[in-house]
Amino acid sequence: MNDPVREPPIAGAILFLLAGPILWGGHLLAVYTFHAVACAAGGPWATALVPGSIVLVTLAAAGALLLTLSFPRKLAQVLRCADQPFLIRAGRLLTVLSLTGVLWTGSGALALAPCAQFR
Amino acid sequence: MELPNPDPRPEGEVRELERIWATPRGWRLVTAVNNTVIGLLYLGVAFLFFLMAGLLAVVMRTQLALGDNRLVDQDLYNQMFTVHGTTMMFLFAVPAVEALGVMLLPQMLAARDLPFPRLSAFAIWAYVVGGLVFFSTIFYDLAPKGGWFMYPPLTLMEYSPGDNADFWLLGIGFIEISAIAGAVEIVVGALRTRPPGMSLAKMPIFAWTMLIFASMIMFAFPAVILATMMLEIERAFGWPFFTAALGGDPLLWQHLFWFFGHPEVYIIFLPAAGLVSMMIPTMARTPLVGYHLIVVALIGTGFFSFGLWVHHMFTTGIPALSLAFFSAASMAVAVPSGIQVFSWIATIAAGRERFRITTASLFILGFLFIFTLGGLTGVMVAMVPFDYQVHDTYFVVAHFHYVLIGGFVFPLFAAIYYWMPLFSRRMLSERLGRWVFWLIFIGFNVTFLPMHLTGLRGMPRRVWTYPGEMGWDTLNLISTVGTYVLAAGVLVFLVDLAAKFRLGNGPQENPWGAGTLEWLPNDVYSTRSIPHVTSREPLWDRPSLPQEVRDGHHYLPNAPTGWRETIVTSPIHARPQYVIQMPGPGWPPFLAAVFTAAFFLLLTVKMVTIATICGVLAIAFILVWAWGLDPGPSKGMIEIAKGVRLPTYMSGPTSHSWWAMVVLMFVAASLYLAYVFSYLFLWVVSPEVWAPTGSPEPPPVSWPLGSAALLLAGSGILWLVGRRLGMFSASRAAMSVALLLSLVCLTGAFALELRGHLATGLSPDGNAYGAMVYLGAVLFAQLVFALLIMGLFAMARHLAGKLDAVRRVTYDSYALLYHYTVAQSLLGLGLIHGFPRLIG
Ligand code: HEM
Ligand SMILES: [Cu+2]
Repeated sequence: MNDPVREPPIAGAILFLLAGPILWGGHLLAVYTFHAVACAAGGPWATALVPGSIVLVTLAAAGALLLTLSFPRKLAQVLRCADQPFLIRAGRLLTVLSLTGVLWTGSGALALAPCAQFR
Repeated sequence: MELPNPDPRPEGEVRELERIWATPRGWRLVTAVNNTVIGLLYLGVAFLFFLMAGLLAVVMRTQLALGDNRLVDQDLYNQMFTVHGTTMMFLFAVPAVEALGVMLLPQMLAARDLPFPRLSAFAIWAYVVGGLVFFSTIFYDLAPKGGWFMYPPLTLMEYSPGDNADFWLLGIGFIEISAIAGAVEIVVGALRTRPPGMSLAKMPIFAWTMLIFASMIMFAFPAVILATMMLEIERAFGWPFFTAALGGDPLLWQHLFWFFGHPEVYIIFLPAAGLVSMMIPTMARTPLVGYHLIVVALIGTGFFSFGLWVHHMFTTGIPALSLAFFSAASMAVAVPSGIQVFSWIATIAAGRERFRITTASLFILGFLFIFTLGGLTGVMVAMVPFDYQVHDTYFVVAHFHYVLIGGFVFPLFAAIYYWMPLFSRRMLSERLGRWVFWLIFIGFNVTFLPMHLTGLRGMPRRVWTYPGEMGWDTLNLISTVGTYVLAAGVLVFLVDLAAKFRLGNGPQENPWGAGTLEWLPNDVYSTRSIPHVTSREPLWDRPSLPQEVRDGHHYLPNAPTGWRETIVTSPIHARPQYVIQMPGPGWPPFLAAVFTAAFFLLLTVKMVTIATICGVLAIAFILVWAWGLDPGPSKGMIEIAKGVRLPTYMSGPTSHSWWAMVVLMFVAASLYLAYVFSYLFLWVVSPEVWAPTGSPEPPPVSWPLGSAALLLAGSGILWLVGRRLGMFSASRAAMSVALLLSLVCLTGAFALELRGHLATGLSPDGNAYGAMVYLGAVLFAQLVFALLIMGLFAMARHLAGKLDAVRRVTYDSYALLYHYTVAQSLLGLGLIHGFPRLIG
């Protein structure tokens, strides 16, 4: 039987397209989990640690997003997916959306008391 | 472009296609599997549920018309809003979307059918039987009363005795499984059965939305399936997942439910947006403005919608900063939706001629108006302080009906008017259509606009009546009047439908002058030949295409294997890879579905023996059905176009069955991740019941190590057999021994895990820790059960000479799931035995 037509695996293309949103999801998961656990554990260290850590994680995520934004072709190489213009454009836009989301989410830490309930 | 099949076609090919794809007649109609037939059944039943749940709404609104009204009593009202909400979400909206996918996706891709026709038939029948029984509970005072999201502790046995809640848990839980089956079909269909040349960047937007829809189902539904399992287990056996006194937490339900429930609204909305993106260009007679932007917006919305679930829990006492994360995400998700709205408006404006006003376009304009308003109130309730104020009031009821009816029901009506000519010999009346639209549009706004005010004035949702002196009477009366106007609109539609709908092909081939493939000349076999696609609107860019397709000048103009078949293409560029031979009509999927539904429903009313018999019968029919699959390479290579020859059989990572298994593994993995989340969540909430201090210490490490060793051994055996399948399958003994050995390893690993915990004296109903540990075993057991059946099935296939080095799909599926199970269980062993030691 002759070989079916080969093309790079679609997993690479999916990961490439979703790189931004995945970083966004990772960021949300990290800050939310950390915050929930820290506040559940309670104690003064939580109050002291929470805002700074969240800002730090947010900056790290934003940095990673900026990297994917600046070097999409590198990323395409790493993920071994064809760097089609369609994928590049869509991936870029998604990364911009994710970056907005990450910064917006993280900025809460600058304004709100770490573990208070507002009810 | 050179035609794939330039020469004239021999006579008789069309008749052959007609014979092969003929729809069974009479009572054998239930054995049909073709997408146009069962898709129509699917949509029809979903619409029936819309009507029935709508009727409940009319009764509810009549009850609420005046204060102190006594038309229905409190208990019945509780059942009514629960059944209304549940039916609308689970039995109408999601199935209707899936139905549209089943009906339209293959047509838009010019595929002869979806890759697993019998799986769709199975999913649909299971849903029809299960759904009708679920709905009928309202007539016997057996309907659930906990609201469509069924929060514990209200839904625990103590506060909801009787079988009512179980009908929700088992009935809906099982219909979710049928939705997943449909999702598998749609993912593989959208990625692998596109026509040659239709690369991802040329895919119609509706196909994109169906792909995203199905992927979202893969990741969202497992969370609620797990939650449903846990609540049912707690109700039946008292494992305290949600009982705070024993270390459980009702909030866990809310997390799991809304991790599903929020994406759910986008699962409903995105495909509707996809329909709109298909119709607007036709009516504006110009290609969609910002195709890329829309694709980005769809992917973005789909993905981001998984990070919003906590906005349903703003008032549960979560620290404000966490709420802020989700408030921000909720507002951010409005951005991609806004992108879509602007793209549509731009397309309408960009048309060279004026936007054509038909009933379909009216419904689209109505959708834009209503959905945008719903989006605005959505941003309002995404603000935490505002939500504190209106939570659980009629403001929220108004908001979600604006997004659900505006965002789904209006596009659905538009779609019915627009695509009707594909399925009915006569189109619906445009004149009556105006009436339908205006009655529904005005009725809708009169019903739901005042509800914002009713809510702001403090009227809570889910109350069966209210005192007359609260000042809510007038607003409620207006809402009720509006409901009757809306109902009148639906009635006019039904009359028109009854008068005009006649199964068959429309009077005109392409009445709206659309540009996409579903408007090619069509018959039961779909298009005569499968077109070579070079653009997004092939019918606009190549006016001769319909004639070429009809004359068989494109791919696969005949049925060379003498059976149902379609072309499988590569997922990114859509290059032809092989021809898939598909099963035709048959009883097994229908019977398997009926018995599966019977199994779950009889369990609900605790008729365990008959339920078990039905379960066994269901499995038996699934096996009969599976026996006929994997036809093997006997048909060799065939010519689908001049000089293009393709194999008629494929196994391994390129094959559609492999892809389906991978999709299923993603589903299983999300279920398991939801479990891991639940375990850790309950630990955060109640560390005091956790081992090693609050519960018996986990068994000595030798137990999990033994279990892990057995699992790895089993995986190793299957890996070896897979590498040398030719050698093993040459000998009956070698193959059988290897398969049996793998099953022994697996069951041994499971037995060790279970025995270990039992030996420590840990019980599942003592506290939440014990419940979580044994739930891990339950999830393990499920996979072991499935693998036992699949392993023995593979053995039987081999003994019958239907499994060898080439014809190996049965083996590959078994091995894939096996390796997945090993990976999941190793993670589980690490969690259950490692975590208590880590914190101890
Ligand atoms: C056809 C017109 C409709 C009317 C007049 C209507 C009316 C109502 C009413 C009166 C309630 C109960 C409010 C309460 O007591 O709290 C309700 C609840 C609800 N409706 Fe509708 N509805 C309609 C269509 C829909 C549709 C199309 C959907 C979804 C696709 C939907 C989803 C829901 C949900 C999820 C609930 C919440 C049930 C609960 O509280 O558990 N409705 N609706
Ligand atoms: Cu939501």
